[in-house]
Amino acid sequence: MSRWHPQGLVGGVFFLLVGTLFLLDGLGTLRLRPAHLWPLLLIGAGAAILAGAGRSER
Amino acid sequence: MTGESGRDPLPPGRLVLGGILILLGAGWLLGTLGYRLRWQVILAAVLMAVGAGLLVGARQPPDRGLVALGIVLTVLLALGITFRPLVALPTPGASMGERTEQPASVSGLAPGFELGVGSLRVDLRELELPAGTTEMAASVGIGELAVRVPEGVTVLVDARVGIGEAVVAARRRGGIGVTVTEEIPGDDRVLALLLEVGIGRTEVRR
Repeated sequence: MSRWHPQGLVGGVFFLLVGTLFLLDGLGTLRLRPAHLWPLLLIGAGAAILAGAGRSER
Repeated sequence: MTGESGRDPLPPGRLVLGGILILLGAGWLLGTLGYRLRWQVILAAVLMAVGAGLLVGARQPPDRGLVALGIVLTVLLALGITFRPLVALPTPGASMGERTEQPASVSGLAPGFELGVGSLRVDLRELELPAGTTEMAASVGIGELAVRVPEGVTVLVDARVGIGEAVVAARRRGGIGVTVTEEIPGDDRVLALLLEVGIGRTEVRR
């Protein structure tokens, strides 16, 4: 029986989203500000840690 | 030959590694063909590939190598943005010392002003600006960048300092990764300033 690993899901979504933001910034479409960026990264790291802690053993 | 009902899942790490090599190679090739692609764009694409790889392989325990790569890339890109003016430092051969620029006409503003290390003063007080928006960019790697603007015009300031201080119309902001976007109100002539200092200080005043 396969199951989803929350850390993989959360990490994948996080890196995909953050990578998109960086890409748009690099293309000049967005202008990311450090004051917004670092809190977002902390939120993402926290979510990934919670996802790992919430994984249930079967 | 009939296959079995289940087939071995493709290891996401190998998929992503292959994709990363393709992306890096494509970026390099484009560079040699004369297309300028910033490293930030390439690394961001690699980070997206890492994210996609983790999602594709989310039914398996996450590949630790991929996670580590994603973390390293995220931190590198975030540091690159935080210290953007430092990353965009003038080349090691750029000029040093004290310099004052006083362009006589709008055509003298292009392509901008740059100093490696030292003090750069740009005096625009005598500049005749047309109606509409006129843009000027200036950067100093390490040191001071001071801009004097004409009376009466509207000034839009986008100032970034990697480490140091930005002072716009007597409003001071300092620290690391300083970004200041300010408008000094005036008439329908608009002067848009893009100022970058890696380490040091920038000031805009009339």
